[in-house]
Amino acid sequence: MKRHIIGVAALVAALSYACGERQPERVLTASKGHIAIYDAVATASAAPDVSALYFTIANAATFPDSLIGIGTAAGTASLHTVVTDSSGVTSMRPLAGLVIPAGASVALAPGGYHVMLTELRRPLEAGDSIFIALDLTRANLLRFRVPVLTYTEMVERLGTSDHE
Amino acid sequence: MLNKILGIAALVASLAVALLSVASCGGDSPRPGELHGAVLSAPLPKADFTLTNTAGESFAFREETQGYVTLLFFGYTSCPDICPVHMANIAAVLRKLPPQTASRVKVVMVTVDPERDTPERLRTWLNAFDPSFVGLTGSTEEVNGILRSLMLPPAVKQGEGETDYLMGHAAQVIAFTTDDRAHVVYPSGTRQVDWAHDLPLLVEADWRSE
Repeated sequence: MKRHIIGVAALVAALSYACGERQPERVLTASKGHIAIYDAVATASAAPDVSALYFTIANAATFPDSLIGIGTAAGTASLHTVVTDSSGVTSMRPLAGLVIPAGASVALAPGGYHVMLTELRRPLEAGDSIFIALDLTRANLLRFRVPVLTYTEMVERLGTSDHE
Repeated sequence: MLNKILGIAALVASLAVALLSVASCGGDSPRPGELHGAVLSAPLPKADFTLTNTAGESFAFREETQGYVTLLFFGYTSCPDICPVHMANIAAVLRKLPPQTASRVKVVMVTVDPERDTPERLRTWLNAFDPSFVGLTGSTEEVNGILRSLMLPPAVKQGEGETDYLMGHAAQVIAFTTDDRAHVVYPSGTRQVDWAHDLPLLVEADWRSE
């Protein structure tokens, strides 16, 4: 019986995926304790020394946690947000950290929060992967591997940010 | 004799009517709300400037893009998010559109970071999206003058480093149509479904009836 229900649920999911607005399943990249990382993607370098990194952090705890550091041997990683001022100038602002509220998730996605990768030791190419280390105040270090996709593949995978 | 003159007059009149109807074929201008982009309350005249393309040749924007739907964007190659995402989305949609539609669209990117964006670097960057995309370089003064003419704010350098800095810039793509005006712009966050919806309309639109 249970198997049937799962089968029907999978069919419904497949059908709604096929005909409705695309709502791709989140893909778990890594987890540690109360923190889970989904949909981690780095972009293939268009300029040889610059790329971007995106992921979603979910916090299952009843307390908040904070992302306070990002590191990779691939180059220099810095957390940014995108802001537009009253004159219409859009720019990136460095962020010292990012609070992940209790029981919530925060998405890094195109047009919003993102990690800028600079001083790349070599250009990132689609099909590569890079190692990332995140430092959180409560969960401490999380290390995981991130696939490199072209910008087009990345946008098709993640959509765009809805954060203001 | 009079009959002959009347006959010629009728022929000329019917030819004129035929020409007018041919000229207006291709559909009306899109109705308000029909486009996904941000429709401007007052259309912008097409920018008239000459900068240098990535082959080192001078590129007269207005003449070179005459007759095309022209997507003009101001950005820079050391930009990890807004600029490559715009370019990737447009390139992906152009690849999916029928060739007869896609071939009527030109994409032009003007760098706001002439210090770091050499023509070679700009070419490499654009090739990651579409080798047909035009990359233009000019002095900061020239580029800010073009931005001003389009009622956009000048680009702003952020950070003290010689080579390690960010640029703030207008992030919308301006869509000039074949009437040499822009009626609609596409802000950061425009999705592929929006481009796929609007580009065929912009290509087919006839704004002259306005």
